[in-house]
Amino acid sequence: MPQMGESLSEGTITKWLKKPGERIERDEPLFEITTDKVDTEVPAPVSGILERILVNEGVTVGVGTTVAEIGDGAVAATTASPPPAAGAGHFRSSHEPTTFQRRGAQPPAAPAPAASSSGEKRGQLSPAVLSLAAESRLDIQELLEIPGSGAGGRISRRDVERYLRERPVRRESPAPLQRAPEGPPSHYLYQPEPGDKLVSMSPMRKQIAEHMIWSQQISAQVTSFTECDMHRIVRYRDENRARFEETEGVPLTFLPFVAEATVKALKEFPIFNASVVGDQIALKKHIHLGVAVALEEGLIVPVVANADEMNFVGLARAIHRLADAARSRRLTPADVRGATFTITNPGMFGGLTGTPMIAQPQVAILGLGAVAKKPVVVDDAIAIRPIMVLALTFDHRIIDGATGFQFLESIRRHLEEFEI
Amino acid sequence: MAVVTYLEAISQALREEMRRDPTVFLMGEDIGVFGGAFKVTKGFLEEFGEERVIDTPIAESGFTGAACGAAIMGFRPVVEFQFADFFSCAFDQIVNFAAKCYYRWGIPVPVVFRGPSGGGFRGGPYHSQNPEAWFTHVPGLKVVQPSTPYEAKGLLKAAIRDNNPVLYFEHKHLYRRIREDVPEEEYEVPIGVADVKREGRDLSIVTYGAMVHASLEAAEHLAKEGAEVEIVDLRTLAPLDKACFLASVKKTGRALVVHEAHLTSGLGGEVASIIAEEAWESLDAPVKRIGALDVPIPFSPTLEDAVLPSAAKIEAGARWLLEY
Repeated sequence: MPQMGESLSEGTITKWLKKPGERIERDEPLFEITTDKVDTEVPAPVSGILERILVNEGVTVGVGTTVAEIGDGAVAATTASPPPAAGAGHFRSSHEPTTFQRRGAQPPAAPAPAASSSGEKRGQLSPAVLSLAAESRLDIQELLEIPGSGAGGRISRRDVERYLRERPVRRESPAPLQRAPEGPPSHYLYQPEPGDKLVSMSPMRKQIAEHMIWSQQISAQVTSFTECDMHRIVRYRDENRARFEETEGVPLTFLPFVAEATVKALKEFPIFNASVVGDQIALKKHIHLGVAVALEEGLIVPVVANADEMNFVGLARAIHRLADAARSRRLTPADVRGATFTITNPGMFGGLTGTPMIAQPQVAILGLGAVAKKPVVVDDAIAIRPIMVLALTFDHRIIDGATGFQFLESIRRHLEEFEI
Repeated sequence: MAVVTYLEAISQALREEMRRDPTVFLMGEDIGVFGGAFKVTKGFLEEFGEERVIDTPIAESGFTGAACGAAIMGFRPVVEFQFADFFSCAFDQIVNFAAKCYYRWGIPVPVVFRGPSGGGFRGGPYHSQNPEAWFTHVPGLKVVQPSTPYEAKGLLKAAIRDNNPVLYFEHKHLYRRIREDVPEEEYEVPIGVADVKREGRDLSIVTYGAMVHASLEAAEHLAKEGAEVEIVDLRTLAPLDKACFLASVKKTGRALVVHEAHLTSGLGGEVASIIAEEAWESLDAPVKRIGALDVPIPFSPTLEDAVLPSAAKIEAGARWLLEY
């Protein structure tokens, strides 16, 4: 299972494009996957015969999991074992996957001497051992440290019984102040009632949920706002809309204007184009601009790579291409990888403003409100102007309020003083 | 109390039941004048007369049908098949008539089919089989197989008194080799109840018939090395006493299922499945089976010994499980 973006930990195989026994060439599509970020085809890394499929369609597995074997065809079809059924992947434990692999425990016809290679059966835990461990509240690490007397060092029920008899009484675990890692107290949790309609979360939904919770826990997020007078841009857009679409082939939206202003501001304030690494701050050389796109099933953030090297038209084209690909689910893994700063535009659905959350491991995100006409004071007179509220959430660990306001002010100035 | 052999215990049960109940009578090949191929009914003709000890032609399907008819009419026939191998000659009468009559017409068929079974005495492919699994598969039949004289007598009495057709497998190899004190007073061994022949906490051997003795021998050897092997004698093969062997396996966490019948599709597969389904969380090792190799029973002594299970093979299987 390939890594489809640094925040991804798993992917679901949606379709195998080859059957076991078929020949496949390097870079030829082998299977399709869905992750919370992209749906894509995965090409074969080498040429050869697809010998075994190890993960069935519909099964979710962790990044790095071997999902198939390509070889020279020497493996006979009869040795192929059926892949796990759909859903089986959810039973993966977070421990070393190889520790719990159970294979080849065929009883020999004649009695075998104690297994020659030690450690061969060490991780094989019988139902009896697992039941006893659960009853005795032994955690898996402690269980695996029990000396095994079975063949190949296998831990038997009797080994566990002996261990439980002989082990020293455990200290009561301290840490009364630590939050329980299991989850919130039950009275904060909702118990579904009859009549509720329960809808399963999609992989994308679950990933967003996990990402947002973590984002809140590992950074110190504060949000600042400013109002931006968009009258120059609105006027320019109204005058050039048709011509721009004709000559450049993409519609003229507000987003590339904001993107250009943001890139300029990021160049002035590189602290917003950074990540926290331990007690250091990594200031990034290039600006890769994430642009959030709302989809029916969630949200995806394709990335305008090297936005710092693009002019206005280049930004407009790149944003249009990526949004289009996102909506028709044609994004490639590279399209969603490596954003250094994100712009989100919920304003396109109306609404004054919001407080966006940072996509980790970035340190800031800019949210756009709707462009709406409002009475404002211009040169001591009241005028009607198209106003957009900008909301900037930034990581207070490395950026203070003053800097946040300066950065917002810079974006506002670039937008209000727009000239082409 | 008197010490009797397994064979004498069977004779005693027949004689006592015939004295007790005038509706009990015997049919079979050479059971009258000759006293039976193994002499189980020696002297019966003299005591009970030819109306109650009936010599039949070599026509199993015919006399099985006749016995079923008599049972319907209120008798309690006990049919001796010269060898259990020849149950198959009367398969249709047993499986399609006797087993289903009560279900289909509400008429009980209280008949017992005795079949000397098993190998180990160079009988070759037609006189050594253990065909019990053909019948444990059929609803409507009860199937028993005693391993000791006490049980041979008590189970046969229970079979004769049961209102269902009962197949009674008596292992030829046990006939004169196994002897023990058997009470002279009246008793029955109930059908459907297994028995723990030896207690232990390290491994359960679930078995029946002649293999109970081979397993006991293996357990003796292993005991010298400190292993406590429990032996469950099923005694009744249909209906199975699941509770008994499940309790044993839950205690020991390891199960070895042994029968002399062929391994494939033998009753051991059923027992192993029940253990896997109902004692899964107690299992500390795979459920292992031992049975005869899947070939006809050879006449050659060397080959027969290689094909049939033995105390040594059971010991090896038990050791593999104990060391697992």
